[in-house]
Amino acid sequence: MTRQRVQPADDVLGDVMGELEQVFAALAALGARFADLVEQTGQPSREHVASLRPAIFDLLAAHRELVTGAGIVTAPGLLADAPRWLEWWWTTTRGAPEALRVNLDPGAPDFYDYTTTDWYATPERTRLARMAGPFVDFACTNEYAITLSSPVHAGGEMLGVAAADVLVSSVEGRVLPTLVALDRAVALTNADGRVITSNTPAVVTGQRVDAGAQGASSWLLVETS
Amino acid sequence: MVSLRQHREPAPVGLTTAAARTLLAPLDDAGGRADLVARRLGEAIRLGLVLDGERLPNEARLAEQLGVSTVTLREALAMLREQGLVSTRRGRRGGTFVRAPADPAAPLLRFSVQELRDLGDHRAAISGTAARLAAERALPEEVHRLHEQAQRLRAATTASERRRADTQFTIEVAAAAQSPRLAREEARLRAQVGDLLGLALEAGEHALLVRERDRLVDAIASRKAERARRLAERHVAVETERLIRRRLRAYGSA
Repeated sequence: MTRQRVQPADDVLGDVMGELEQVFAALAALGARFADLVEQTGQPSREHVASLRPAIFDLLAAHRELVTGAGIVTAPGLLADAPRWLEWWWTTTRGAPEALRVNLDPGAPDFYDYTTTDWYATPERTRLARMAGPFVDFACTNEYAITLSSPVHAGGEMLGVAAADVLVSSVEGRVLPTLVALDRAVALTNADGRVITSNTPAVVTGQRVDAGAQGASSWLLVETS
Repeated sequence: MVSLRQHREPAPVGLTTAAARTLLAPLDDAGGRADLVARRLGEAIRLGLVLDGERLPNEARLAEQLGVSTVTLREALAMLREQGLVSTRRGRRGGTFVRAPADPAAPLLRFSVQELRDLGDHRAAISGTAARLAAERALPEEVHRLHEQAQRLRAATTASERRRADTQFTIEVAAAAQSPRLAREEARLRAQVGDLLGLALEAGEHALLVRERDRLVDAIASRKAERARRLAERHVAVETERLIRRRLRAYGSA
């Protein structure tokens, strides 16, 4: 394999990477409000979590070009009236945000166990924000998506995550105008070397570009020819 | 069966995963097409997304979910009643309830041998491509999930557990291929074939099925794309042959 030149995505795609940082900041703020709520109420109910809806809608509105869904996902056993809960809203073609309905009954055939997802389990383990994907979200939205998630802790206890979904198509719309103007073939990859988008048909979304992606902490631009 | 269901509290409906939503996505141009609505709902029931005894949402809500008029929905539900897939009860605890097909071999009779062969061809195309792309594209984390799913299949003891675990396995392979379309297509195909694969396996067949899935995960893990494709195709071919053999037997006993 030819040697691949790699650079941080921020160098070229400062605009969209900056907005993703803003989304993470908004998620951290949302998560902090959720943590306050837990502290104030002792053991919150779904209704308490529902009081965060205006903040979730604001986040969706502020980043509507990138973010399609956002919300709070609670740690199992935290809420008084639901063992597991997603206060999750997504924007639809109809305009107004819509609540995501998933089956949270462990005995059901379509039980959605979010605790095993990359966007929940990884920040739970590392206590750090996580950019999961791109992945096929077959359990929820059936979209090819990236999930930004920010863990919420109180002392040593995991309370849940504040998270947002970004469609790969939306990222593509934002970055390809810049990438196709470059005079070289490059792919935008996640930290694991998975291609998010590229300016050449020879390298496609979802593909693995292994060289140069080792140990990265953020998205990369990998020269591919 | 009926008495069992009467003792059960109406359960909340579980039409919530992407697979279910795909089947129940608002139909484009569905005005008056009750047969299409009936087929979609029937598929969700056969896939096991809605369990025996489960109550469907009320007519207004279900019609809205499906993007059809309540008149069309009522017509569709009447068709499903005729097929014995739902029953309707009146009163405070009333509503429309799902009924699992009574005779496990009955679904097979809906297909001709030619249709079973064609279904097998379609499944081989989708599963084969999904397996090949998964071998090329999957990251270690996704391979790990496939291993776990194969474990779940190994631990399955009943026909419905086995069907569910294997359905989930095929959808996860398509997800590892990074293709929402292939994942959706696998869900659709499994809906059509699901109750057929739920037929009782003969002795040793479960162990064989598990071994085949393990081999496929190994091929994907070691990034052997062509081998993964071949294994997935052969798996479908063996299953199709088994179904055709049973269908031929049904002709014999007719």
